[in-house]
Amino acid sequence: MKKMTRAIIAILVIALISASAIGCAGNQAPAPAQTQAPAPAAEKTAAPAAAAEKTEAPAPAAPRVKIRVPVYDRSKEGYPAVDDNYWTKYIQTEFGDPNNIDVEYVPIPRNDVMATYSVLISGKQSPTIMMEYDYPKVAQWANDGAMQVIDLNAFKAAAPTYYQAMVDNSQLGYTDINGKTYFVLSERPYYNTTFTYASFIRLDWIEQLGLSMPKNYAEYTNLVDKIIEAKLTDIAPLGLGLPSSAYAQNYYFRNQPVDETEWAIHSSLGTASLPWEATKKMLKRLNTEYSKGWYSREFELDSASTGGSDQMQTDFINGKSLQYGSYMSASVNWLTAFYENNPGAKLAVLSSEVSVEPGVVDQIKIRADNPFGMIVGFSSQADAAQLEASWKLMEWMIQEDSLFALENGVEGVTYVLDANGLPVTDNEYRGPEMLNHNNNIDMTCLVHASKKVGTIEQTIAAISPQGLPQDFTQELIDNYYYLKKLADDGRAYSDPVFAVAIEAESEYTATLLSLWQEYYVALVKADPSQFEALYADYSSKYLDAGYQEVIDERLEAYKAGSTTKLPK
Amino acid sequence: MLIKTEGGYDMDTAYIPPRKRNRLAFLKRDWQLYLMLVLPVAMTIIFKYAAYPGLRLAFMDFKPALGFESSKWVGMEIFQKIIKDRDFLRAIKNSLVFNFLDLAIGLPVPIILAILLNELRFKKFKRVSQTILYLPHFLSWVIVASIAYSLFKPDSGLVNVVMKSAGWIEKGIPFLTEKWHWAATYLLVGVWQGMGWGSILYLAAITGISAELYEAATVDGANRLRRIWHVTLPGIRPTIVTLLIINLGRILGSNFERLDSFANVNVKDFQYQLAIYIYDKGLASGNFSRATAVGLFQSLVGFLLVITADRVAKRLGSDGLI
Repeated sequence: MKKMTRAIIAILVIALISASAIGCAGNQAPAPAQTQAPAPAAEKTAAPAAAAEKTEAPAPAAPRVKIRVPVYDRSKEGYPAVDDNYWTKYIQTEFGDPNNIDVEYVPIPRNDVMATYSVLISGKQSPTIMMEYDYPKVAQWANDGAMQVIDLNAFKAAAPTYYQAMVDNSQLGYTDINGKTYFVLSERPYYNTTFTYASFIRLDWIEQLGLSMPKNYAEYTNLVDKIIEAKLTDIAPLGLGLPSSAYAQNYYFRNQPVDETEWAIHSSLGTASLPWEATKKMLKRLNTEYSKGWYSREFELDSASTGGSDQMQTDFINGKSLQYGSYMSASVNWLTAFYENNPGAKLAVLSSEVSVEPGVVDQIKIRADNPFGMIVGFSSQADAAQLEASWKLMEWMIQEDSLFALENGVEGVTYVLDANGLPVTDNEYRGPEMLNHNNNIDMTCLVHASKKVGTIEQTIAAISPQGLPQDFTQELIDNYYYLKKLADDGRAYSDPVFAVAIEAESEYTATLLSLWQEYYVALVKADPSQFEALYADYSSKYLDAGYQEVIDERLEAYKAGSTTKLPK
Repeated sequence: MLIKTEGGYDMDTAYIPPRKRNRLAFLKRDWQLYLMLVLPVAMTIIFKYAAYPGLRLAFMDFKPALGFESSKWVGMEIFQKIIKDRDFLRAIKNSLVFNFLDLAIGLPVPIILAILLNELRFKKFKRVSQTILYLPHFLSWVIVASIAYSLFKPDSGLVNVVMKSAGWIEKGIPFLTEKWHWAATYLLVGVWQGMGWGSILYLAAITGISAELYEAATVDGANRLRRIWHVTLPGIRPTIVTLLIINLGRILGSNFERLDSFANVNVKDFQYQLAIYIYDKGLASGNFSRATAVGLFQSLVGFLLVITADRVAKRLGSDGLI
């Protein structure tokens, strides 16, 4: 018995040691091809040609090139792995194999992009293509030497269609940082209108109170106050969330035209502009609304980090709140759930005009997105062959046929063609050919930021929620034209893009976001009589905590001409 | 021992010198134990000592793309920056205060619990109680915090809802949304989560106390409380001292998972501790040098505290740890 026990212990220990040894060995396995010392590209491509000249013997096969392409991993339940699915295999078969290229997808957790990239870069494992939607992030990578300088003429030769799209979209002004060319840019269709987002309001409640759709802030205020008075809901009628990013939605509250210097230093998604007058006006309005009981007393706790889910959405689905909004697609789960839970309820698309209040918001102004989608750069560890292979992939993907297949899938399986010959995708399909998040957008983002289907009306029809008792297509189209008018009137503009890295921004972003969340909640919840004093105190602390350094650096860059300008 | 033979001197093969024999003997005797030791030692070497060269990060302006070789060496600059950082000082202060309170409350509670459990005479009840008390230890902080929020939210938390409907309070108690209330809730939930598990070591130590001592005390007329005071507590004193020393080493450490799960914007004044600082200003900002520098600082302070506590314990007559 004793011997047996000894033997078992020995076997277990040996097994553990072997397992860990194998584990360690696994970690030290040869790195993927591109991390090995790159052979000069000229040698690689010249060799076969030289061989062909000398003899009649068949040319040796060109070495297979491996590229690694990042893909966002959004951890969506019910979806296949982002780096190994029908469509990654499709790209390999349709593009990779014919071109002698191995395309490997590298999952990048969507909520942890920078940290993941930092680890990959440190471990000399960075993907061949490095891309992000935020300019300061890619600027930082370029500045730190993680990306390589590229020759736009060589890119034009390798990917003429892609290059032409950049020319057509006026993107050539965004390719440089510190005077050197690092980036190419994907398209963002209809970037200056936010038509894919819609906010819905309870039309049945409005009718029940004998009111009409509010057209300005006075009418809107009257409506919300009446809803509270009539006790149409037993909770606060509106939802408010804790800001999860530094995005201060103060566009309505800015002067028109906005002062260009103020815009250059404050208008940013990277840091919230707490000390700016426009942000103050926005917070002041929220404070007043909160004090009237419009929002939950514990709204800051209703986020995933404090054990809650999207409470605002849940409340709306349960028929307890007045409005809710999100990005549109053919299948919007919360809208479907809303109608199931509230038979007979009616909704309407709410216009931004309800925010107009003379002296506070004289006109609606909106944030136009950047005139580009992904800012695409290339790892400094990639060799010339990999660079060229990446460009080939981009050129292949931007072709109509490739893009159509990647965004719609297989005919008769994931989509059918309607009477106009336009694809209608089946978002419920869960077979192997199913498309990943938002029609494979995390793959096709390499060429554009959203799917385009024919005209704008047809595009909107494709993203108008289907299978509901109400059809919102026309309202969404009207909303688009309303937003387009704003853009045509110069009331939709993007944030400035800096051609130099703002170092203070990387240094203080995390601290400032944390303070922004803290002060935002405190100011919204403050006693209205103490708002002014509290705002002054927080603004000064915020400036001291690093914001002053950030805006000083931005101002310097602006004065040096290293930023984009407001459209004239 | 050399033995004279015809051809000269030869080794006496039957003879093994005492030292050599002893060494082989204890290895031979306890080989299973040494084999079992190999893995933890290997793990320590690989994950603790092999990572030491990475401490260079604290003295460099490390850029991932440049690597160790090309990043700029900046000496103590990172430390100087950190020392001047108000957030760092706030994080240090909070870490010290909360860890001290955790220790002050967290150390005696498992001891008391172990003694109470030991005094239970009804075996089944004792076993059931022990199992229930151990359970919270196996829940992750994310789950514990999620339960805490469901119970203690000011408006919709179960506890406040019940107290309000019973008419005991008019306004919800901000257990987790006002910093002083949060501090108390945070510490007490911590005690609740850890006390059962913490009592295991003490229970084991109590089991080791000779029954004769209890009999002698009983014969001398000691009642139950006296027996606890004069027999049980002195019997587990070495365990208490050892755990105290170990815990002192963690006085600057902080549990990111626990702090992050209990975080909300209203309590950042207290919740902002070193683990949060390292994550926010180090890892999340891609500033690995700063994260390493703070980590190194934490370890050094912890090391000094352990040494000091060990010396003090020895002076006071206990065995100490080292």
